[in-house]
Amino acid sequence: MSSVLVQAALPTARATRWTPGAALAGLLVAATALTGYADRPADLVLAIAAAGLAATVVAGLQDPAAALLEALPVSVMRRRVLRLAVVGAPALAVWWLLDSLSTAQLSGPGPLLALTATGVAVAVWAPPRRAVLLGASTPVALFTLHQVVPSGTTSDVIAWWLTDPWWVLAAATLLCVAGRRR
Amino acid sequence: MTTTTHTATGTLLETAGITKRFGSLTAVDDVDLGLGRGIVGVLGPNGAGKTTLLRILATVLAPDRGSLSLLGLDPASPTARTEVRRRLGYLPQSPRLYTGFTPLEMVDYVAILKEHTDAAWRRREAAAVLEAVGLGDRMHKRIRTLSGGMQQRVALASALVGSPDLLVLDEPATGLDPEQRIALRSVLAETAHRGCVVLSTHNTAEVAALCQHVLVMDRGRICWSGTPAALAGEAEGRVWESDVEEPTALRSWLTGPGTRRHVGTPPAGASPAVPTVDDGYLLVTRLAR
Repeated sequence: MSSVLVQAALPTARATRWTPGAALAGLLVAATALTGYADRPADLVLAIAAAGLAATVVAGLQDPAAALLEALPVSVMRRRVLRLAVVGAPALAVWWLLDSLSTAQLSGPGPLLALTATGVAVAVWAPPRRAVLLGASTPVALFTLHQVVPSGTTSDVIAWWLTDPWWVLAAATLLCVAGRRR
Repeated sequence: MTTTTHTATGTLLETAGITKRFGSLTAVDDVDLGLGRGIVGVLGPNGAGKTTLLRILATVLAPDRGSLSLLGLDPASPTARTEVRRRLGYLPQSPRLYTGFTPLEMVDYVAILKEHTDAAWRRREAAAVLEAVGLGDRMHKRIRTLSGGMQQRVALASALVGSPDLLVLDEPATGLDPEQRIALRSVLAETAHRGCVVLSTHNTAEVAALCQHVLVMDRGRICWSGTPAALAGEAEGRVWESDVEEPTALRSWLTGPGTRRHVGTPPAGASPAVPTVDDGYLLVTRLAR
């Protein structure tokens, strides 16, 4: 099986749309560099980066040929994992680049991974027709809610992806595993 | 309970009472099948449940009720399902492809996901199936530059790769011109020598030319089963032509020469016409309602 996935990695990468992610990465690098140059805190830029990159990774699950590949021995879950690996690796590299360019307190890939896993969990459990759209919207929605919801218990819960990202990652991963047959 | 048996050398596909519901809609209702080698055509009006039945037979959907055996295995078990999928080819309705790939790359990718890890064999096989569907001279062109019919044939080649024992095709002739349809018949006839081909279509002429067995579906049930000749025979003595409308006919339609063709119980004095598969199909779907 691993040999199959290794051989499928390159065509999977070629079957993925890279333009939106590359454009987002360019914008984020420029914004982070500018905040560093202006000696301004980059926490907000990194939070936006976490949400934007997570959304891009989850959107990478969109497979135009999914219907044709539905009845193949390599299950949809394995193909999703492969797509996540293919799109997630460059997203992590971009994250580390942004992290190294900034002096923000929001360091480490925890928030990015937490938001990505949450988005994937939503995609796994959402109705198939809208799964990727809903999953990719989730990181952006969580970031937006974090910005607009006034301080309080609800705000604290929404901010778990920032304050307790590894717990969120673990919970979302469990949800993904539980829905692996979907 | 619907019972349909297609006898051939060994049963490759067997269902017992399979039912699939989507909310309050029963898409497939208590279907029993036993199919061996050969080509089986599934006819039926839109919404009859053909696609849902084919998705179940392709292991894409699990039935809510009933049992299913494909190639002697029960796809309800994940291990058996994977084994069935290694020997299965599936063409969904209106498939989409990676338009930046060439046909050769697309079929090669599907072959990888069918767990064929020998790259040299895979390339040869992909080229062979593309040749078989008449795309030998286009296999290195980008898919986005191909016509709709050619793209349909790339998808068909993807289903054929690896010589599957069970081929499930949802409207495979969509977008194909008459010459391509004839080529498709040859390809499927070859596959049917070693395995079972189940295809859905709206084209009764296709069924008459290609299939050894026909299933007519309506409202999720199989309302008729038999050979194409037997389906045409259902309308024997029950089809006639006239210049006027016949209120007693079950179905009437205007023909090319301007006369009206009717199926049903002919009035006294009407001279029966030679029945076709179309007539038989229209009759059995009307009688099923």
